[in-house]
Amino acid sequence: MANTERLKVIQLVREAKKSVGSARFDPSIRSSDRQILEKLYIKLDDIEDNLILGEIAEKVALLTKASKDLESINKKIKEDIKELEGIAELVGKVANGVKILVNLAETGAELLT
Amino acid sequence: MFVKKKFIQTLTLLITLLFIQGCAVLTQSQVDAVKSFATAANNYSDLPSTVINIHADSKLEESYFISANLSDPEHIVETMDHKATNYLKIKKQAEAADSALSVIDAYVKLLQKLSSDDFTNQLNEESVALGTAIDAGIARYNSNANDKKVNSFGSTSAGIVRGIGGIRIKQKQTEALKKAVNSAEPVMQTMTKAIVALMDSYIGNNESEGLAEGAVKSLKAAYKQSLERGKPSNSVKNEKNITQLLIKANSIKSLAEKNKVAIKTFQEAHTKLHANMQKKEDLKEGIEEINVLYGEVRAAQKLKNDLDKDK
Repeated sequence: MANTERLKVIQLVREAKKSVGSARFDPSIRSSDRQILEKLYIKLDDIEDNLILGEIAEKVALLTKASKDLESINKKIKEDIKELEGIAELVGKVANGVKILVNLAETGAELLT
Repeated sequence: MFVKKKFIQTLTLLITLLFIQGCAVLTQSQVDAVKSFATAANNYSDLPSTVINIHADSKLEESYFISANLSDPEHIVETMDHKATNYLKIKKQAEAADSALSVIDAYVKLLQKLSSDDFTNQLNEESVALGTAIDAGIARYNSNANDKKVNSFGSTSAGIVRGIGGIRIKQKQTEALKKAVNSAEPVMQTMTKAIVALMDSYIGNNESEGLAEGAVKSLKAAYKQSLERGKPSNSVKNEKNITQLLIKANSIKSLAEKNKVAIKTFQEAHTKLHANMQKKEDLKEGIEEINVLYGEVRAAQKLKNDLDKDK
């Protein structure tokens, strides 16, 4: 349902609820009619609440759907960040490799002497 | 001296080649655009849920008056049960909005990380470790060599690694940032539209009242009917209470309007960032890129000098 249409219906239901709500307290009506009006009042209140909830839920669902797309973009950014960190880490690994080679060479030299 | 000259020649050649190939690097104005976007996004995410939460609270307050106005015990219990469920459902929507918008927070933080100096700083540290390891190896070799000694080249190696790696990192950062912002721009537009639509539901338009106005009217009507029925009777305490509730309910519309402006500002900041990420061929952008590349070479040279000093 389009935004304006649903809001219009909500407004109509609210106005009807207000009228029925006030009519309940009219001293001229019979007790049994008052019960019927009260039931109608509850029903209108129920419809109003459901329409309001539907209005909010519809918009939030759109937001949630779009956020899922942004979430997958975030996932890709994290992968890129990892790759960027990998450039420096590679240099660190080479440095460690050189250290190991130096130690190995030194141990080898010691064993030969 | 020869090694130093060779070092500079190598880097200069490298940079020239990179320019010929047209590889863009992350510029300060792009980093600034990310910062502006982050400022616009700061503390935005909880605003839409605040509107929904205040609305839920207002509906709950209204429900107390509605129930108090009913005469049939069955109707009272049924209504309270329905109202409690409805309250929780609206609150759940607020949580869902919060959760959806928290993704924007994460996106902003990731963009900041992506455009930060963390990677080049880390490279600096690792390059120093590499240079030191190479020099240590040469020193060990020289201490065992009987005749021909080898000149140490750890600082030069570290400088070259820092220079090339730094430029590569800046390039990779630009590519990643562009890719991220380009893919996020249509998504951000959809999210903005969804938030604007949600806020419009609260604000209303010329044809229909919004949910905010409806909440105020419903609360007033429910209170009026309570008074008509004599429950509760009007007293200073009750009037004070209802006034406070109305103030809160009245704040929904103005908060929704502020929210609408805020999300539009936020979207504009992202669109500006998106525009900044597009390849520009003007002189200003070219000079900025040269400055970045020059900065990387200087960082490499500084690292080499520092390592030379420590010897």
